[in-house]
Amino acid sequence: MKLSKRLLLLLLALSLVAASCGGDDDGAEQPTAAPEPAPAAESEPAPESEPAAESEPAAESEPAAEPEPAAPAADRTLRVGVAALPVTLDPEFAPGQESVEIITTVLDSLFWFEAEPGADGVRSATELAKGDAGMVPGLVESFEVSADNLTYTLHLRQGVVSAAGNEFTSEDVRWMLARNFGVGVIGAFVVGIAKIPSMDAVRVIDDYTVEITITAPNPLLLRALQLQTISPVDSAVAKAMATDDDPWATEWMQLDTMGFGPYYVDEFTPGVQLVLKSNENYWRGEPFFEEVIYREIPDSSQRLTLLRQGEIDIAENLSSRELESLGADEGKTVSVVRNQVIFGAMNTLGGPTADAKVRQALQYALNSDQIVSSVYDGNAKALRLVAPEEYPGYNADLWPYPTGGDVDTARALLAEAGYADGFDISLLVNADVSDHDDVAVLIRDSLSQIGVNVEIDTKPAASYLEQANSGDIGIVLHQGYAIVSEIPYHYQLYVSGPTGFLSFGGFNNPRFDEAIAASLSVLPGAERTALVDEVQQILADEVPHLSVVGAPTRYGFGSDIEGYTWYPNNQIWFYDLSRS
Amino acid sequence: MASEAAEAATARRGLSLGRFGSLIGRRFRFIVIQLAGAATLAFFLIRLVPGDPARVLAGPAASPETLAELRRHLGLDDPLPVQYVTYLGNLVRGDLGKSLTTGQDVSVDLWQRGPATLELILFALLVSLLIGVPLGVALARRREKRSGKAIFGYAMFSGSVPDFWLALILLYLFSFKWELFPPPIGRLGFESPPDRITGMYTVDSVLTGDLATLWLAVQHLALPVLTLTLVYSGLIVKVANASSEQAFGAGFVDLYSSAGVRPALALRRATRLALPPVITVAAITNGFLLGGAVLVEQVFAWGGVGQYAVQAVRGADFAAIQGFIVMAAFFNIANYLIADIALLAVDPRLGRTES
Repeated sequence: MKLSKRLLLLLLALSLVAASCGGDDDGAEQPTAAPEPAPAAESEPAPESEPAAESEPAAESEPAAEPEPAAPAADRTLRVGVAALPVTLDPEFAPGQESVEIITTVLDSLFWFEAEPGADGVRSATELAKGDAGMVPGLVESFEVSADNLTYTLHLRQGVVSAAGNEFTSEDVRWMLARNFGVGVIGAFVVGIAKIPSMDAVRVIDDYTVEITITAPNPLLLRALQLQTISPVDSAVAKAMATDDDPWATEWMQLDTMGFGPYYVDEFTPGVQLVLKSNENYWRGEPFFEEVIYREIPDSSQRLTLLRQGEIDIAENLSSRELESLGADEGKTVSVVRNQVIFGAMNTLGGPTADAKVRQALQYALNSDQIVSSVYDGNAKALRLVAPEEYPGYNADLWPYPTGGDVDTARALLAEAGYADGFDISLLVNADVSDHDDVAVLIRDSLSQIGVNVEIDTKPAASYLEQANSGDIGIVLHQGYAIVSEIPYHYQLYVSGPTGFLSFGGFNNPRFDEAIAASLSVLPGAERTALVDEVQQILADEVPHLSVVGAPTRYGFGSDIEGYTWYPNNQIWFYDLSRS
Repeated sequence: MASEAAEAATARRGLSLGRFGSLIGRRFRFIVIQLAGAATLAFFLIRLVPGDPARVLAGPAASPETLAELRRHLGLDDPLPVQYVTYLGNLVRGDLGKSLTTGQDVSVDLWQRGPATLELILFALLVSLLIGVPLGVALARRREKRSGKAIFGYAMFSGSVPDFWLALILLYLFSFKWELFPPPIGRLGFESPPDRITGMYTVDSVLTGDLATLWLAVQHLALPVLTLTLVYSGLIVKVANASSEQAFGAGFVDLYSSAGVRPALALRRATRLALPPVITVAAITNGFLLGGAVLVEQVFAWGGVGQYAVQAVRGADFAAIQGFIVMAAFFNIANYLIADIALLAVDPRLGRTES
């Protein structure tokens, strides 16, 4: 008896000892990343990134982070914790943000963004305010436009070499454009934005010259040509991977890719990790980080903890609350409010919101200011006109609705519409978007003040999108940004029922669509301003969507990571970053 | 006399070997039916849940034409019975389809990730048994003592705690606050894995003689295994307790002791008597562990089939979910088959009653 008891105790003790021993040694082994970087520099979100070079119109936009060989001891591996790894590396099928982030760093683009510090000190692309004028050469070194603004002659940069060792030529540009038409999923949409009708409009003049003829003057052509769907892959590699059944190498590009960018894909285990290695041939110079490990850490609180511990350098997809909890000595928060908007698309075809008066009433009732302060701790902006205020042509004077809400006017309008006692309505929320559950609660609070009873319906991404597009909706809460920062384009995508893929509410106003279509074929000037004003006036009168807030693009960064620059695609371009 | 006994022993051995054979044979007939059942259930249940794989794949910016094209490409616009027959036909050929979230064949995904989960589960089962059985036996002897009450309390606590919650608490304390264990970045942190032989890092690092990796793998296993053990060993404690109470209370134990038989022999016999329920509960626990691994893997970014399943559900990745369910069914069938063989080995009476 005694013996067995002792044995038992021994076993227990052993297991406990084994566990704690394991821990002790591990603790000693841990400091892989710099343990306690001096907390001096990180309080500001990197305003120092020198804007000197940008003032000249000179082509080469020198990215912020110049590799600094002076620090040999610095860790040249960047570890990024993300909620999910890319679903695919093929830009034709790349819906996810992670896909876009990887693709833009692997496939260099024809044009790139001029960047300078914004009002909040964060270095940012000027494209948001300047449009095509904010674009600088990338793989296209220079270009000429014909007098009718229809024919563009692109002179390609020479001596650009991919990590596979192939030189960049006209054939790479041609092949990728042909692929856009050939595969025709997202590419078809993008060549549509560029107004390239078919491959007949693309002419290869010589190895370094390509001529493109578009169907109408296009104020957003350079930005369309910047998009990752058009950014060339190394066509020599891609062709080698193509088969008779798969002429555009879609099979290969799902899990691998090769372009002329600063990094190439070294290893990709879907759902686990993706490793990028630097392209030593990169034409802007080799990046600071020789290796980027993109690691799937599904749980956001774990990403935050790992950032705190210095195990990862960047934590993506953190909620506001998580970022706020990040202590000054644990890392730094980057939060910029630029082109991301949150709106509530209302059903304009059925239910109480089919009446414009009701929609106006809901907008009057909405207190966006409260969402900005309570959910985002001030790191957001009240939204008007469903669009970012930096867009050229944005005219807030046309918007009568106070961002703090006006309950009395709202009640009066609702009574006029015959809903003095209010009504019930559902609010569809995407569970996979940070903070939207909190935003939804505050929308419910606002609307309850005028007797509108909101039932929040939270669904995972897949079923959210299915239901949002089904037409059987009350209000759909949505967050997004237009891939081209242009006010009519933004409305075409997010508001117009007939053309918008993400408008949800079925808003159908022929004059609205005509004015948008017209403005998209007019270069900036008085005519265009009048058209854009007309569009915004309709928007203010009809209120197809609730304008909720301008949402932040946010990351948790390690204290020693410098050089972040904001781009309109809301992704990090790893080439910018360095370790101090 | 002596030769008679030897003959009987030989006959018995031959007989029981034959019984193993016939058990496995009978099981194999059922395996097909069971797998087909699981596959069918998986197929129809998934399709009851809203979520459109084509939309997930094409993204929000896809036009209706693109969606239609993708649905056709994925075979989603076929009538359900046609999809079902195609699916079963592919399954028979070992083709689980292609995952939308990874772009790979589901069988490749499962093959890559399976060992991670298997390693986690097997370690958790082993530790659960190592802790649970002695505790259960001790509880049988010490029910009224303070130590016995503590064990009883543990058995009650374990199994009533949600695993992901416990995982977060353990991580907070042991990894974040006290830094005793590595942070939850998968199985080796950012280190590269040993050459793949079995895919289980502990085994592979032993086979390749890479002790540094072995140590790292064990450290990373510690917290997820501890989590699963704390949650799932309670059942083992309870069953080990009940069966040992019964075994030690059996008449022959008193008879042995009054007849002056060595106590060690009585202990051995009683243990053997107490074993079958423990084997059964080990198999059941093993099944539960696979379920538990789904959420625990998520917390530890383990990169096994559990994390894969969660990702698949979120992305309406039909093929991946079906593949996971069929794999889980197969795992459980194999699991119970092994348990039955073990039962037959420790309890020869089973074979006799079955014939």
